[in-house]
Amino acid sequence: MSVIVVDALSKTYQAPLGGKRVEALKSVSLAVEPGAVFGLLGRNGAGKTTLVKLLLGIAQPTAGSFSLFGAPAGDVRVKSRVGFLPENHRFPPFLSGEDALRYLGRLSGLSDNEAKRRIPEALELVRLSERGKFKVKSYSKGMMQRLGLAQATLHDPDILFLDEPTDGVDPVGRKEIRDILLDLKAQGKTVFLNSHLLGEVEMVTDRVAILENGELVEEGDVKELTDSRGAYRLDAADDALAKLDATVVARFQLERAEPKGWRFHADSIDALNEFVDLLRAARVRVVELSPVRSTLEDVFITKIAAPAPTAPTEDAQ
Amino acid sequence: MRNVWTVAEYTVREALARKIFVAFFIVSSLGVALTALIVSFIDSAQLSAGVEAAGTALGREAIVAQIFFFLKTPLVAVAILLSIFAVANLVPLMMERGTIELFLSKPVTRAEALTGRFIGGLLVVLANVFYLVFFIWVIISGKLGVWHLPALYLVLTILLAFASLNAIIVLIGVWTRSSILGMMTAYFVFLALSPALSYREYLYELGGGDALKIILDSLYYVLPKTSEVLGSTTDALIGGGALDWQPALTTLAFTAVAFGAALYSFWKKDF
Repeated sequence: MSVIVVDALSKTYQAPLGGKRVEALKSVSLAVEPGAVFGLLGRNGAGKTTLVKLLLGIAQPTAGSFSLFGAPAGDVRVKSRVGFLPENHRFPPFLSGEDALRYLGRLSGLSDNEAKRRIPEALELVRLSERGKFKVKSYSKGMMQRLGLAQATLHDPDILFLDEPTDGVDPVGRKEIRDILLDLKAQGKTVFLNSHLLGEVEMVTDRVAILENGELVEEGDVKELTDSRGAYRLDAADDALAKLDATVVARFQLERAEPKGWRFHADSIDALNEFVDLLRAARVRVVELSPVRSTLEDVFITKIAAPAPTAPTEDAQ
Repeated sequence: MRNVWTVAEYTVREALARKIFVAFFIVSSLGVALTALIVSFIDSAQLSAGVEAAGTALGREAIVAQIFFFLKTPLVAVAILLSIFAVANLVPLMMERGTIELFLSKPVTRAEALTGRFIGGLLVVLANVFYLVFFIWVIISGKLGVWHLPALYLVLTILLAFASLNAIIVLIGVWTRSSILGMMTAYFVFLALSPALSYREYLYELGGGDALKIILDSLYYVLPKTSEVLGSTTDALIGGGALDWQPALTTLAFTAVAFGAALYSFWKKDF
């Protein structure tokens, strides 16, 4: 059974007194399977945060429906199985890191004894053990993100919603957060990752959806979306184009690639091996041959190859 | 219920961490110290002799009540003005972006979150008002040797009046996310509207006929009667006079309705 099922979900924000009307989400449908790391991609203002807010009951849908663990929208009890790291979250500044976790842990349903046991573990997980007794207001942006991740995982939720988790975090911190996400995945947790940092998403997600101007424009497995689809890159010590017959060049669509080498297409493994045989027959010395993978960024840019949307969403709230 | 108390507890801690609470405590302490200083000038032997000459122990209690009638106005003014200031931003702070999302992502209902915040504000004020009134009562009672317990009703009447103003602050906070607007409205009700409506009989004379009378009467019965709760109701409770429950009950009803409206608005709100 899917952990998240979203069916034709829409959200329109209407300013009071007949003011501006913003369609933040337009009939979005998707499903997330248990144990998956699901990436929701989109530009700023595409509707990513709105979708998460709807799923968590922070905003209410205009139309459509959704369920979390089979429970319908508005069921507060299901939130004890949910961890959430909001974008630009704020902890009470007068509390220490430990106190903030104790507070949010209690609100998540942890008993005082469970909190006592879990807090050091959560701080250890995000490498904040030594700063746990410091006031939150003394934390850097990166430390705040890590503390946010600690509070999201504190009560051992089954699903994590992470809204831009690596925002403002240095490269080392990003790597640490990625490792934590992969560790959570290994534990069988479902992760719903909201980000516009495509490289980050590509490294950890199994499946992605792309939102543009409130609409779902793509959804699929990362491997399928970034599949080479028969494209290969050739690096050779000799000029392959000059040495190969024109019919071979045409058949395998051989062309120069930037900054060096050649690109060609082979529809199957047999075709690929035939091409290698032809190269060898033409005495082309092969240095390297590898499949060309699209990056998630390529896929994203292709899908979003349109002028910037005019309708703001999250930022407009 | 656990969630309500958790939110209330951390609301108190939040208030404790802020300078306004410290200022409130300092002002309360100054009030207590000033009372102690004034009372120290009272010659209790002479006072006792005077009271004995006047008659019975009831005379002493009446003196304590009279002292509290005298102290009540500055006490109430300080307590309510500082209380409003101390709690005005509790709800807008909770509704700040980044904070409210954390709250609402937890298995906490919106009603629990707002109720916890409201009760937390009341507890903050109760602690300070109790400190202020109780120690003044101890000083006066100790000096006179009469422990007039009804004087402590002042704590309850201040709390009731404040609860109605806090409900206004919370309602406006939910609607507008503004602490300033909530504070201004509460001050307006406490300092102008409620005192004016308690003397509405005099306002009838301004003209306007029955229409003005209906409007003023409606406002009087709908809005909280902080002026009367802290005036005649408190006097009756402390001094043992005839007690009219109407101001206290209608103020309590207003508090319930205003807070109910705040809960409904908070429940429907998108963040």
